[in-house]
Amino acid sequence: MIDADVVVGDRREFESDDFMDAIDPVLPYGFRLAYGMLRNRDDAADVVQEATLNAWRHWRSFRTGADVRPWFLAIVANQCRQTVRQHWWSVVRKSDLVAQSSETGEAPSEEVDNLRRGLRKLSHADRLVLVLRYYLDLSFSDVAAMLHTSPAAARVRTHRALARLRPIIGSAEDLDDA
Amino acid sequence: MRESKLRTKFRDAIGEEPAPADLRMRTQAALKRELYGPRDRRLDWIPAVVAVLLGIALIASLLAIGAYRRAQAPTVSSPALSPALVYVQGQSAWQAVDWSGREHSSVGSDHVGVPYQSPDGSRLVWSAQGVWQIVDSRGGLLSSPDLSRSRGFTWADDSSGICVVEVINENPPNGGTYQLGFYSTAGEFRPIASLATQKGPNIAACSPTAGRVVITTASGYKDAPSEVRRITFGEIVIFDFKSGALLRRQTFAVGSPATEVNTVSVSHDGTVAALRTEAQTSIIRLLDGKVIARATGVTPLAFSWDNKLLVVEGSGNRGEVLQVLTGELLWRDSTSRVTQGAVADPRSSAVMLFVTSGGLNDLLVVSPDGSARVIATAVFPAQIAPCPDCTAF
Repeated sequence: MIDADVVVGDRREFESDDFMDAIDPVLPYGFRLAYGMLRNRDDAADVVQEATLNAWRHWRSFRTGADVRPWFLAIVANQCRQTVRQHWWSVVRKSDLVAQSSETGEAPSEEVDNLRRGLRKLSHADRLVLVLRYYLDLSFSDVAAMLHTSPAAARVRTHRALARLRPIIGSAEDLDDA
Repeated sequence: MRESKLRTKFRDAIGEEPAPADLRMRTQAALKRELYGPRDRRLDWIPAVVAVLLGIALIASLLAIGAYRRAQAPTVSSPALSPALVYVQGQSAWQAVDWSGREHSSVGSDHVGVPYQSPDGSRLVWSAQGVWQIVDSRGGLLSSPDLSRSRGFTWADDSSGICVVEVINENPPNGGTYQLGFYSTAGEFRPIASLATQKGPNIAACSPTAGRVVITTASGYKDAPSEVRRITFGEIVIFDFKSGALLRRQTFAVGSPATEVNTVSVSHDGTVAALRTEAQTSIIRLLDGKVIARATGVTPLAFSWDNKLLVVEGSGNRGEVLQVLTGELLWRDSTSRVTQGAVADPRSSAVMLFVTSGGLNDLLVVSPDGSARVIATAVFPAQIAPCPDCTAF
């Protein structure tokens, strides 16, 4: 008489399975964003883990039918900011030194090194919009969905962030996406 | 520089780092710890200390309130926590019986009308000489909520109070605006949310434990050929119990009797609902509307407390109990009795059916193992379950 296709069991376990099924496909995006922001593999994995827990705690308020990716990436971005705040950034940590020394054997070109240092000096908001656009390859619509703004505003923010990056890296003509 | 070159530069600067292979496993493990076990955090002592301090403050407050209440209203007594009770009308009072049929205390009959009891029977709300009162299982007055603007109310599933829909502006049959609130048994009112509807709103579930309030809206009309009053449900609206945030609003198609939702039964915690149309009954998960199961030829009456069983009215208005987990029929009434309603036992997975052969009700308890027994005969029960269409207009 009844064609049951979903088990109604313990409510929390039942919802957590659903939650993981929804979050699983966007975990790699979350990690890429966290790595783009922090440039540390362990920190990025920790951030994704913590962001997943935060997402679970707010899962019931997630609007059914909405896109999970921008929602989850926004949580990851917020977690990255928290992580940065928690660290005493004037101290160079041992793990950073190990990570930096274990990067590609070749020394980075001056251009890449400048860009890397420039990104590190940008504010969280500016770095976020550039990482979303140029490291995660998101469209302006997707960036807008994540930042809760319009695509036009996302485009403006991106260009302003690029403009702020130019003087830092001292290469005005190289950073223009027009 | 073109965008593609800019992207290449960013990749070179940041570096390519694939996600760890065990990322999903690690996040799943963290989630399990969140669900079932303590987390290992250096600052975990802070919430513990805060909880202890709050606990001390709460106990002190309760002691103070208790002393005050004893001084002001000596008839107030503590609620009967176990077992769950059901009230039936006796010779001169409403008699409490537990789910095994054993009689407990009775409550005086100086109150007007049928009492509406909380799921575990530890509290009742009724109108004594025109004044609404919340009383305990011995009739001790707990509070007198102001329900003068109420359009309907439903007991919280933990018996801690009642969810109320109050009228702000109403223009039947064109709907109105309403305020959803909560009266604790101590009489404190807390607004939850406001809503505007096209049909009459009722509270189908009020669950502080699950953190949800489920509203159904319904309208009634008389079908001219059959002279039968028909109910049409317009929507289900789910609010967060604490914040009042709108969690979901699901609208049903109206206009064609064949496809309209005419019966709704919601689980006590607002997790699942059974929706009946002429064609079929669908069991849905409320937060996303996903259909869990379908049945034909039955009218849903009540879910068991653990949502594993669904009581329905089958052919000939005879009671049936279905297992949602397996889709199997657990029990069917083999007699010619008619089933008029059902409720869930908040202390177990059992369900109770109100059956009749033409007179008063027999109380029939069906256990999860499929066994059934009558615990009381020829009685008139109090209102126990929420009524999703009681004030349809």
